[in-house]
Amino acid sequence: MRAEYVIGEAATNLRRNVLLVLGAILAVFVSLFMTYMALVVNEVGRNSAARWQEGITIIAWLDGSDLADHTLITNEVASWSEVKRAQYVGKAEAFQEFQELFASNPALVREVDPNSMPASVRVELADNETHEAVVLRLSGIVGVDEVIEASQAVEDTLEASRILNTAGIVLGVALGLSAVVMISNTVRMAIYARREEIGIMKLVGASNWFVRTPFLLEGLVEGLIGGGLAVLAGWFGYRWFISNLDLGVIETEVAESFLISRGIIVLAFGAAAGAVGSLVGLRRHLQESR
Amino acid sequence: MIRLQGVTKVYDGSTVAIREASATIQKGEFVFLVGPSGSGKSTLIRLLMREEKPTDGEIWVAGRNIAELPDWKVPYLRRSVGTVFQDFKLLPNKTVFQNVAFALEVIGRPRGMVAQQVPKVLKLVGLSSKSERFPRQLSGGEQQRVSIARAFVNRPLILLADEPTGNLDPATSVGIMRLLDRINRTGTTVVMATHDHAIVDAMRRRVMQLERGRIVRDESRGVYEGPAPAPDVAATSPNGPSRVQANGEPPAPSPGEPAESAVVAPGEPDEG
Repeated sequence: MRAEYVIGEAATNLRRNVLLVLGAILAVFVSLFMTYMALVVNEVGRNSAARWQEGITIIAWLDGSDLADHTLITNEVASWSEVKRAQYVGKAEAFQEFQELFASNPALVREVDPNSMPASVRVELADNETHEAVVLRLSGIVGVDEVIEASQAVEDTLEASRILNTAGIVLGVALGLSAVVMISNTVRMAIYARREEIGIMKLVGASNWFVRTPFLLEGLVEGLIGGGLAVLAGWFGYRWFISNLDLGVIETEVAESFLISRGIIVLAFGAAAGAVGSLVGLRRHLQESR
Repeated sequence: MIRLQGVTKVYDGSTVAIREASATIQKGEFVFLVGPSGSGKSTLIRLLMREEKPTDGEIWVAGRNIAELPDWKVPYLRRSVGTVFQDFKLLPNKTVFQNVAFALEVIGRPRGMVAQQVPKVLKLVGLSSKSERFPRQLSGGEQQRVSIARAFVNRPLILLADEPTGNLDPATSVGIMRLLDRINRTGTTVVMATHDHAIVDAMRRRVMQLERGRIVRDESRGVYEGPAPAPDVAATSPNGPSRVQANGEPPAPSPGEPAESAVVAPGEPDEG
């Protein structure tokens, strides 16, 4: 009876102000879509950064598996004056990194033998001007198989992803606030449309929460619909993006589990925006209730 | 049932609506609040239903001092205090039945109880045949009956009525008073604010007269127009008359009285 009543009232509220409600849902959608995409971009950047960490510009892949040789080489490289930092990444670590990078492709991970992963020395330069000289010197060392460098493209893309990420979060928060305001407006309108009924409910002794719950539910539904649309659009938008655009060096694939877990977070944000919006809309009414 | 003790209500820090009012109303009494507009009748009603809080003093309703009642408990107070107003306050998009049922539904009463109680109370107010009508299809008197049915369906201890006949013609008013009298005979305490001389004079029930926020007269079988107390007397001992008469006064209606006694003679009411 009670649940039935609350749901019925909330549905009526939503129907009465279709345009306003759609506006609120749209605001939630745009805000959360931005946030969701920012999270995905951030993850893409993080994946790439697993290899090209801040400052590391050269990777020297090593031959064989003799740990003593590897240590010697790493120590030697680290002692060069042009080098700020030389970091050794063993086979096990390399395999772990590989697993993380290709978490979305378990079949590939299964086929790779952990032993076949090459160890490497990752080099951060003290001075980027010495880049070419260091690459040459590294290639000359016995035991170094191949030397690769972070291309300008990688750097640019990582930079772009950082900017996009920040901009996305900032926009998401700003739009999120406007979404909360719009939800509170729809709730306020619904309260206004029902002021007669609310007055009588209070007169005959309906409890405060009985009066408020339909409005809370209304805001919650708006937030959840907006959030749900954002997750759907984000999911399919991202799929379209990776199947149609090739960024080359950048690994754009993120794990499905990541998309799902962040999708749930985004939905929770939608629900929160709805609840906060309703409470803001109900605020005056809450104070009035005696 | 109701006890006022030194109740004062000041609006906006300057307008004094009720001034040190003290009175006791026993269970089952029928009390008229009379007095000119602005004398504080409506404020007193609003204080009794905790629509307003007194600035000073105590208001005891059914054993609780509602001046101190926390806000969240007010709904539970309202469930034992029915209210009827001059403007009916019916929901236009609900039928008679739905309007009355609404009062039970929103306090979470089970469906079975609603289905049982609503027809009963509609029969009591004489609207069984019109339960599917909408308020706009009813006369003013019928609408007020619906409003009374809604106030009474939860069997409140107290029924507060603020000018319930204010919008009705004299003949219709008589019917409403008969109904309120019947409700009073079930043991419900009725407090009614009114301007209607004819009704008060015909019913001969307890009358409390207010003048500029003071209770200046309190008679057990009073009429509307009492001997005006000398202004200086009212000023020096404002609560004298009300205290004397309010305390220990037995409930006005005696249980042995026949239910259909003509407390209001139809056709008799003449204005002023």
